[in-house]
Formats: sequence, structure tokens, C-alpha cells
Amino acid sequence: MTQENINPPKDKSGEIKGSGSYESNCQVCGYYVGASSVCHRCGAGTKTRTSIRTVRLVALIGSIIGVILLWVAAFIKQPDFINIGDITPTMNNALVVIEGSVVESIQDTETNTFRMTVSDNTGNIRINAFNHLESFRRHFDGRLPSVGDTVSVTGALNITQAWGAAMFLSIPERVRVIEKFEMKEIPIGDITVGHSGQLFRISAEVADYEPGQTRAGDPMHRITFRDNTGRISMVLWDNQFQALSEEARKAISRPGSRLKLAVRGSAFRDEPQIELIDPESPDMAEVVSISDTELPAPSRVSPLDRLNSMKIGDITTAHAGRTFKITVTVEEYELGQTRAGDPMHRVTLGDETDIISMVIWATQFDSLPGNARGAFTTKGSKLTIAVEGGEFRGQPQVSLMDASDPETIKVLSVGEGR
Amino acid sequence: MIYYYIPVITFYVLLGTLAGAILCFIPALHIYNVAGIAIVAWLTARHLVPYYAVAPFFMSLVVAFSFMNTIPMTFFNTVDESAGATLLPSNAMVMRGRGTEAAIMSGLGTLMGAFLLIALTPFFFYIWPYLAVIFGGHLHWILGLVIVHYIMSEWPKGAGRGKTPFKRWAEACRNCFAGMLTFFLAAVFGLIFLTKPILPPELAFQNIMPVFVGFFAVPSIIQSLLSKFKPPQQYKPKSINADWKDFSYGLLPGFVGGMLAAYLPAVTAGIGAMLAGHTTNHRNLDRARFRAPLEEGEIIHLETPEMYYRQERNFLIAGGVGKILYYVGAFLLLFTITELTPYGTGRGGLAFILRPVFSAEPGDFFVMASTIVFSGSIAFLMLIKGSRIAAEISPKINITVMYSLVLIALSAIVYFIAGGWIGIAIMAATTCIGMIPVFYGCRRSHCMAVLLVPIALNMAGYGESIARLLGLV
Repeated sequence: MTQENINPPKDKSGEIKGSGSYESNCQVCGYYVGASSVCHRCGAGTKTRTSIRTVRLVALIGSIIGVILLWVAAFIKQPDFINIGDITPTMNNALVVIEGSVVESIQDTETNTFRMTVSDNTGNIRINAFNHLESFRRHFDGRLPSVGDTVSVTGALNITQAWGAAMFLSIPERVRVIEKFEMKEIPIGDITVGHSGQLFRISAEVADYEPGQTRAGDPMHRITFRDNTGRISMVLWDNQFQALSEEARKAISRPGSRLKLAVRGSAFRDEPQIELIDPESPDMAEVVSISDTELPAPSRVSPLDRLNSMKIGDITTAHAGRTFKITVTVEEYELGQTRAGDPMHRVTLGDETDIISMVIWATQFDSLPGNARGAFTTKGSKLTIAVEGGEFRGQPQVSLMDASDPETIKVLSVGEGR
Repeated sequence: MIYYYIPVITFYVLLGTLAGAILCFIPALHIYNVAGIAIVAWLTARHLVPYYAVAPFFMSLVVAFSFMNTIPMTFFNTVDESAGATLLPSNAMVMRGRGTEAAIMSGLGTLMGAFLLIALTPFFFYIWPYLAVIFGGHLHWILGLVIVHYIMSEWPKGAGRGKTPFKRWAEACRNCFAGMLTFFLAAVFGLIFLTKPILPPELAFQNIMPVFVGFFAVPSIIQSLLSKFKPPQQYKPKSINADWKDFSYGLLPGFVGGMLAAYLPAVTAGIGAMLAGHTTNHRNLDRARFRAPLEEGEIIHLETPEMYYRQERNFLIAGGVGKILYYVGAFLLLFTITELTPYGTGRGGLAFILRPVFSAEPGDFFVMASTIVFSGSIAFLMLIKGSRIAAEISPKINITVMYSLVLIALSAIVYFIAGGWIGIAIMAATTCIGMIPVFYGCRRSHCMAVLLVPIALNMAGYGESIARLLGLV
């Protein structure tokens, strides 16, 4: 064991020489050592007073300067911009900036939480401002970022294996609306499957409302809207329906009501559909009083231009109820009778892939344009027609989509003989 | 299929235990730094460890660390954020040549803690979830109380020496002021750093690493380099100077401190041990006392009766128990999946590091429990052997060279894994703060204010106001 100096040299004032102030704790174990040259407890030497004082000074000044420099660096530093698709697990807890359009916006007043889903071209991310809805509402004066808006968000990433990447927000100033989205209004007749994912408005009348159930037994609501150009259906899950304002709920469930809706295009079995976006926002489902003339005018787009083209060989019973166009040759024509004795026209249509049968009822036949009547009854005629898929005794068949609309049938050539 | 999983998991548990044990021999290298490196390696080559073996591998890594970090802590005086409770007694024992005993005593406490964790399984599943849910909404003010108690319990020391009343007062209060200054600077640092991190985003999961290296590892190294610390020749004991009574004394403070650290965010085993020590404070033990000076100016000696050494033993054992409850227990709680706690209640650095790549599932708890027993038993045997090797080589090692190499290695890790020169600058700033308690004689755990204060304020809903106050919006 080392020897302790129990009688250190003292100056005139009685203080230990060279100490300046009392260095009474061991620099190794922190134990009280008084003036000893070694620590009673750990035996470490204590004759390093000058350098310890320097180290202390460095520690004090360095720590204060360090904190100030950190603040300056943090003040100057702008968080890095990243694409959502580039987020990796090692970015957990990073403060980053993302830019994209809002695809979902939820205001949960019960938990005082504001949630958004933002999408850029590389992916989607959920942004959560837990317990901060009120401060966000105050900051944005009630007009929080809504679906379609382009926003820039600075927040801390929270990445979990179970939930993927999300972003936590607590400061409203860290959300910036770069461009407020103005939705265009589209006539229903112009909506195609090509509009899937796009946001737009419709002004329409409720044509039909049918409450139903999902396979799991949950309530759902099937609504058909129409305007002067066409009809389109929308399914609302019950939570979406309940999130609507009471006025909107009543209007949607009452055929004849007229509404302006902010919707997202989608497709079901190749048919265009619409989905309601952000049902909680009154701007998104507005009950209006509009006259017939204010409903969108008929589309100039011909059904033959907007419908998807199909080959007969590809048509199956699964296409029942769907509309599409086919370019065919009349292979056979037969005039028959229904059980009630009314005339009916049975036409076999073919292309290079297969043949299919079509029945034209007398009323439909009578409303056909003259050249179409001639073409259907003449073997070898070529036509492009808008049809609806159907099924008869397990076999696929087609029927005319709208015999009265001359734009649904285009006669390419008329055959030469019966 | 299970016959395939068991040997594979066993292999990775062994691998984790070995890796943890060997790497923990490096003084001041924290297991979370190792875990961070391991995660980066795994993300680049996921086939290295199959997904179902990831959690057992990391669990065994941290179990081995809980045991084996006793060796550098005891023999080389390197302290982490949780070692405050045991460093002083083990240091004293090393200087009396009883380092091996100190390491094994602490290791026995850790082993006891490992078995305690398993024994607590029913508690974790049937009582703990209720406690976690009940206290979940109150954590901000609980942390507030911890902060207040922590600052207030830094009591004036000093021996009443000095020519003037002011000098005597300043001498006595030096550690209090140093503690408050450290706490304040660490808290401000944490508020700035966590409100607006300045490290590159791709390294964010390890962004606290340079902060902790600076607060705890580097000041220890500087302290040892300046004091020219050199451990004396160590004895090779055939038994340890502790009986079952000592283990029973150490169990309660260890359990209380460890569970506080495992549950409360930013409360480490060091702070937990301090809180537990104050609630279970050795009421059956004799106190050490100063011998009255025979004449004025005589050096005051401290009498250390046999009971004082018992207190040392209890410190070491309780520290060992608390350490494993904190490091391993906090991670194990991630697997207590119940209806009330569907995502577990896991906390701590390892749970945070693994969160992006791993999620616990029901049933995993028992795989983890068996991992703890298996890995813990092996690690304890390695600790016995390792402490004997360390006792053998520690007096012969050139401490200056060793610490210089460790300092270079730590700086390299910070440079490459934690943001290059920015990481080094952060490490330098926190080193300065971390040196205040070392050289002014106050508690080093004051540095934990870097997490305690921001977490408490954010939980209380003041994060937004703080960001505005600091101009970091």
C-alpha cells in the first residue's frame, strides 16, 4: 500500500502549499482525502492539483461553450429532406422533412389527435399529432391540411417492425401547406377507371340508397348517384357513414337529395366507382339545393371512346354486369319468339378469338338506328358495340348497353347476305 | 420444426453470450454501442442471424454484458450510466487487492437477479400490466418527483475546514452546486439535442450514443489517465467474504432500484439504486463514523468497522441485482404481452434499438426466460474465470496505453457510427459536462438529466413550448 502524507507543507496562511483551494476529494474514487498525497481508500495519488484545476476549468468552460454551440448548430441546421420510400430502420427517431400530398386527414376530437397520411411518389407515411389537435386547429385557424393538399412536414420518425414508419408531430409550425388543392368538378358520365386514385368533386342526385351488410356482418351503405350524364355507385362503410354530418347522413339515405361530394375515383370489376374522402369534413360532403339545369351537362365523350375494349374469347361469366365494347362480325341472325309470343332477335357475334350470343328484345330492336338494324340482321356485318356482360345457362352472353343511344353502336360495314 | 429451431437458437444464444463477454472486456465500451453495430451489420446481411433468433441473440448479448461489464468496471475503473452504486465499494476493494472478490460478489448479485427475473414471471403477467397501465398516465409527474428528489439528495459534504465561514460553506456546498450545474447543463443539452437533433438521419437510431460516450466513458478515461490509476497486486480468493444474509440484505434494494430503472424512462440503475438505497437504507447496519481529532488541524480519519464492509458487500450485491433487472428486465418486459399491454412494457436502449426490426409476439417470453437462465449461467462462469484473469493482468497492464487505445477506439466508433465530426463534437461537449461531477465530487448520474428532463417535459405536454422557447421550431 502507498504511504499517505499526513503532514503536508503549509504556507503562511496555514493553507496547504500549492492547493489554492481545497482539493479534498480523490479524483479516482471521490472519497474525502483532505491534504493527503494519496487517497485513504483507493490509494490513488493526489499530486496532480495543477492539472486537475486546469481540467476543471476546461470542463466548466467547455461545457458551457458546448451547450451554446449545440444550440447554434441546432438553430442553423435544417432537417434533411427525404423521400418516404427511402426511410430505413436506422432512421428511427430522425428529425426529417417530407413533402407530399395528403391522402387522408383525420381529426379525432375524442383523443385530441390529428392524423394525416401523406404520400409522395415513393410511398405513404402516417403522421400523428397525439393530443395536439386543438393547437393545430388554432395554428391553422380551423382549416387543417386536407386531402389533396401538398404539404411539407418536419417531424421525428418513429419506425416499428409492427407498424412500419410513422411520424410524430407536436409543433404545428412544422407543417406547411405548400399548395392548397382545388378539386375539379367532373360529370359522372366522364368518370372512367382511369380516374382511379384521382380526387375530384361531383354534383349529383341520390338515385338509390340501399343499406346492406359486409360478409363479416358489419353494416354498410350502397349509394347510387346520378346526374344528367350517367350513374355511378359508392359504398360507404358504417364508420364513414357515421362520421358524416347528420344533414349529410339524412341526404345520402334519401333518394332525390342533391349533394356536392369530394370523392376519389376507384374501380370495382373494371367499372368506375367513387369513394368518399374525409367524411368528417363538412366541405367534403355538402348538401346543396341545385336545379336540374345546374347538374352537369351530358358528356361529349362517346361511350365507345371511354369503355374498355374486350375480345370475345376473354369474356367469361365473371363479366356479368360489367360494360365494355367489342368489335365483332355478325356470324348468325335468327328471329325468334319469347314465351309470351313477342318477337326477339338472336344474334351470334364473333371475332378472331371466339363467338358469343346476344339477344335483342323487340323494344330494343325498334329503337336501334336504321343502319344498326340492318347490320345486325345481315351476316358478315362488322360493328363496334357497347355491351353489358351477362350469363345464360352457365354460358357468357352479352346484351346491348343502351339500344336507344346511337353512340353505343358503330357500324363498320354491312354484310352482303343473310 | 421445433427440433430445428432449438439448436439454432441455442447456437445464437451462445454466440451472443460469447460476443457480449469478449467485447465487454474492452473498458468503457457499452453494450448498446455493440448492439448498434450488430444491428447495422444485421440489416446489411440479414441471413447472418435468422429472424426468430434475433431477440435471443440480443438478449444473450445484454445478459453477458450485465455480468461481464463488472470486470472492466471493477479492475479498470470504467463507469457507465448505471455503475454509480457499485463503483466506489468495488474500487475500494480493488485497492485492497480484493478485486476478484468484488467482481464475483457483484456477479452473484447479478445471477441472483437473473433467477429473480424468472421467479417474477407470474408477477409480470398478472400484476405488472395493471401497474403499468395505472401509472402510465402519471409518468411525467413521477419523473418530476425523481428529479426533485435527485437534486435535493445531493447533500452538502465537506469537513468544516476553511478560514472563513464562506470558505467552509463553499467547501461544503461545492458538490451541491456542481451537481445542480451538471444537471442544468445536461438538461439544457438534452432539450436542444432531442428537440432538434443535428446528426444525419440515417444514423438517428444511435444518436444518443456520442452523448453517453461523452458523459460517462471519456471522463472515466480522463480521470484514470490523470490520476495515474494503477491497481495493486490482487489476491486469488478461494471464497468470498459474504454469507446468505448479505444476499438477502442486498436483494430488496436491488429489486426496488432495478424495477424502478426498468420501468421509469430515463431512470437508470444508478438512479434507481440511489432511490432504493434511500427507501431501504441499511437500517440493520452500523454506520461508518469519523474519529474525533485529538488536536486542531489533525486529519480526520474514518472508522470503518466490520459492519461497514458488510455495507460494501450489500452495495455490490444490490448493484448486481439492480443492474440485471435494469438492462435485462427492461428488455424482458417487452415480451409481457397481455390484453392490457398488447405491445409489452419494454423500455431501455435495447428495446429502442430493436423496435424498427423486431416486434415481440405472445409466447416469446419463455424463449427469453430460458435465454436469460442459459446465457446468465454461462456468463457467470465466464465472470469467475474472467475476473481471475483480470486480477492477474491488471497490475501488469500499462494503464496509460490501454486507456489511450480505448479512447481512440471509442472516438473511431463515434466517428463512423454516430455522425463523423458532428458526433465527435457532441462527444467533446458532453465530455466537458461529464467531467464536472468527476472533478467536483458530485454524482455522475446527474448527467442523466439529458433524458430525464426532456422526457418528463414532453410527457407533461410542454415539448412544444420548450421548442418555441429555444427558438428551434
